[in-house]
Amino acid sequence: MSTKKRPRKTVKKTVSFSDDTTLTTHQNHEKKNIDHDRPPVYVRKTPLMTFPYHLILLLYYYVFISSDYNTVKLLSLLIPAQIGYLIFQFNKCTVYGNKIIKISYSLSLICLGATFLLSFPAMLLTVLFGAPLMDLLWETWLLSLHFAFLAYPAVYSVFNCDFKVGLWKKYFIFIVVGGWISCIVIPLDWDRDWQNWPTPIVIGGYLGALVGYTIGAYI
Amino acid sequence: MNLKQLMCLSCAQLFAILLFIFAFFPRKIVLPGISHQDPDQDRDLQHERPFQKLVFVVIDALRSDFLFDSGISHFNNVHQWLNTGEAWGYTSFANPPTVTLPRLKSITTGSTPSFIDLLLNVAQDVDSNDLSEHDSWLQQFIQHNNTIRFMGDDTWLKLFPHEWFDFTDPTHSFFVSDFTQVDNNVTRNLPEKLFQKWAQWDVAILHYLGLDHIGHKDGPNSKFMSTKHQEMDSILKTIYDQVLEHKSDDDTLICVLGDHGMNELGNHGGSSAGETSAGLLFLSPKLSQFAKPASQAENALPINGTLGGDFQYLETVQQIDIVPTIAALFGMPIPMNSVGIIIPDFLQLLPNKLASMKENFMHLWRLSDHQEEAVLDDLAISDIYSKMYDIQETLTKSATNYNYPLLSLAFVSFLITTIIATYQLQRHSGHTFCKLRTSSLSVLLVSIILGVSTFASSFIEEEHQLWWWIVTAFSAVPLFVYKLNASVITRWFILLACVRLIKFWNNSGQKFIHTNVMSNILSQNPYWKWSLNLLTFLTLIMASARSQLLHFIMSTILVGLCFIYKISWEIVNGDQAEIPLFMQDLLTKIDFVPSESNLITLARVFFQAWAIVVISRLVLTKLKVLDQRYLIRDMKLYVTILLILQTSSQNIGQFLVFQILQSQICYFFKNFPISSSTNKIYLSNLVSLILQNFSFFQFGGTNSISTIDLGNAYHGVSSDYNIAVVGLLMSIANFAPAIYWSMLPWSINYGPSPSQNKLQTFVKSKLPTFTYHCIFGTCLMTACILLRFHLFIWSVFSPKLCYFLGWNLAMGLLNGWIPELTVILALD
Repeated sequence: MSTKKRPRKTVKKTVSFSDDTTLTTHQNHEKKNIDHDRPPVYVRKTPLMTFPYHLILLLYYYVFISSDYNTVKLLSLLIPAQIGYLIFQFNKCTVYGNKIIKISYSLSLICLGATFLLSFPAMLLTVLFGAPLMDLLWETWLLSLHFAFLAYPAVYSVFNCDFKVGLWKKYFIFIVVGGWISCIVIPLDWDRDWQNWPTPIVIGGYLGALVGYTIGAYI
Repeated sequence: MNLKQLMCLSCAQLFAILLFIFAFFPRKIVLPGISHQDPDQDRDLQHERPFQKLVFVVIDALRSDFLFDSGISHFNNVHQWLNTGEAWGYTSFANPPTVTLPRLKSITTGSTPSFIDLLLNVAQDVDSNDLSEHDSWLQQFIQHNNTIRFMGDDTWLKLFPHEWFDFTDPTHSFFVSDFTQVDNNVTRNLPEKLFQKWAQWDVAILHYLGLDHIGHKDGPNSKFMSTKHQEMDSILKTIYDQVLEHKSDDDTLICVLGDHGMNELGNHGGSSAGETSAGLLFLSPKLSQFAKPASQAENALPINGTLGGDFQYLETVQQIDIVPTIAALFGMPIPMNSVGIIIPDFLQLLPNKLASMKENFMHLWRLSDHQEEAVLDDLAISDIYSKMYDIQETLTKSATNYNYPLLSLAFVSFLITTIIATYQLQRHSGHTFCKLRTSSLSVLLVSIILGVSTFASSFIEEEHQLWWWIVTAFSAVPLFVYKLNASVITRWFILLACVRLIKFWNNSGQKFIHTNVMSNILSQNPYWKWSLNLLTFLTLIMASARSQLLHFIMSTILVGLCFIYKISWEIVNGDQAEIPLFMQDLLTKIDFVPSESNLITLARVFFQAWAIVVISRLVLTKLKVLDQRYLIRDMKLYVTILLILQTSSQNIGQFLVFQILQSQICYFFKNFPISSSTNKIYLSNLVSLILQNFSFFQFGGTNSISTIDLGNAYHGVSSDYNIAVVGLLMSIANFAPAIYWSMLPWSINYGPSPSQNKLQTFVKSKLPTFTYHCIFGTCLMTACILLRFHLFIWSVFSPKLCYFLGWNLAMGLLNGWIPELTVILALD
């Protein structure tokens, strides 16, 4: 609540339409005492360790191997892969204060439920951002589930540090921006299967997550 | 940069666009002269001609399925004749642009139209339309001393001299709200001028417009359509009965055709299957003596749908094929510029079919610039035909030549304006040129994204998607710029919900047509539609209640007039049952009887009242009688009421959403965390520009000529209309949402402080939009030049060029300058 009372002039504001300055704007809303080079909770800069290999494999499977762009099947592959990624890669690179906390299996299960629930607000946002309003609701929900589970490691981390510290917003933003950019192929009159709703957005979300998890530690 | 410089720059830009359009739209090379044949041969052919009389019935916008499809057609007599073989039916391909004037040129001369004809269709007074010197089958009938009688659409009389016709009864084609009188004007002449004086004429041309008007107003599935079909069918029946009666005297051919089709909305002008597939029917007792066309023998009429709904019923022929067919059937030479081919089924009627076919072939051969003689003797008929089809295909595609020096002059001058505009935009945005400010950077970014998109035809067709894409990006901005608290987040949600609702209102573009859109839902539930409209009107009045009393009274009167007009218009032109009862009671209470003439009076009363209110308000404010503080807000309200009058009933509710959205945007701008005023001016104008385009497309607008709304261009206009008034009303109707959003920056930019240099602010505020148009135009012109041989150059790129001109002229210059400057002058 102290942020509300803070006089406006002390806040140095900037306008930005690109997401790469998320941190600078973010900075203004967070408590002052966070050191951004070394926040209490951060992801280590280990490119080989945090790189989401499974997303590349899943994308390769989805685009080149599976012939029918089956979104449900992709989701069934994504969920275990993301859990594995969290346990073996992402969590091992996340530093809490000075130490790395072991994965809590009960919390990761709770987060699975939370991520599932997250798909509903995600669906609302997807619709607000232009998904079909009254048709194709099932597909839109599948898309939101994909988006939600792509953010699953970030969701776990948010839970793990009690919603207080850490800069996890960027991971969500990367996924959304990836989905947003990929929309551009929808109007093209190429009449390809992969232009059908929601295939391009799913691919875009994956690419966004891929970029996000790869460079997330550096920004 | 001051006002004068900006004005010069604007004029230079407009001049460059006009020059470019003038140079870009090629006029076709038309061979002069009239075809002649050897006098002896001519006499023989005339003597032996299979038909003596021709009744040429054009039913405007008669799409193929209206004639042949069991699901929609009510031409019951036609189906019967088709089944007995007295009539031969075809689907005829009408070359785009599918509007009446170019189509008539094609149908009579046999040449394919150029895009410039489309523009001339609107500005009909240009003399290049005169076909009196050109060769056509009408010309040939005149040359062979036949008598022609004409009744129907006056476009024919713009094309052909009055002296050619023995009798004429023209009707206006542009008054689309009427669809019974236009046709009765044609039919009333039939008994007296044709049937009773059968021996006195050789050719009768009837052009019925009613069906097209129904389409424009209500779409192809209108409830008026079936009665119109039956009316047309019974007219054909009476004509055919007369033909049977005079069968012993001479052979008469009745040729029934649509000059073009219509799309699913009932409009035309583009190149979709529905628009290019017109019905074609030849009817004569003589035809039953010959073999029916193959596909007609296989199918019993009416046909139950086509594969994939492509409107291709029976055989498909080119519409221009009518020209050599008629010429051959009446023993005349083929008109000079015709690229048509005699419909193969009719060869059996001709006295010397091989000679006619050879003449047709040699005609095409000469047109395609072949010097050497073709050897035909050892070719079979089918081979000759396939050769002819090849030639026809190349001929219909070619015949364009560009004026390259003029084109490059226009392009270079436009490029120079662009560079100056971009420089000025930069110069005003920051202290140093190289320092890109976020505001000018985002203007440039949006311009470049949109500009680059013009190189892809699908992005032009689906431009609304791009604007939506940009709208979503911009609507995310508040999340990063403002301190997030409950109020900001709520407002952000409302803002997002508003834009999403606007997006949900109408279909735009060509790729996705959703049935579940707000305008469809409202049309199906008229009670809700009118309740929503009433709510919109009430909101407008309530908004004015906070202002001065005088303003409140004035706006209540204007809103009331507008509302009464809208419901009366719906009662006269639509369905009375759709208006909720309590609104109808309202009309009876004030003793207003909705009728065509009362409507015109009411609309004129509204326009006059509006003008009086606005002018007196401006003058009184200038004289400091009324408070200046409310001027901008009140003027916006007056303009909004005018815009609503020019809006179709299913879109009126959008203005309610607009009002809500606008208050959110104004809130965000009021609490804008950036102090630089130039940045704020740029950003507010960029937001306005984005919303202008976005809402334009979500009102149902596209980049295709066929979605230009004509239904709202005739408020208060009687049948002796003035083209300038109709043009103005049409622009307001089509740009209504854009005009609304162009007023958004007024209240943001022109604050209450009297010290502010308002003219300087005005100049600055024009720069983003101007730069956008410049950059976008440069890209569009480059695309048009580079892709000038592209398949879609006439159907996608050229209409976009026209829309671009429309945006610059109507929105950029007229709407961008006049209202805003008037308000500023009244404020100062």
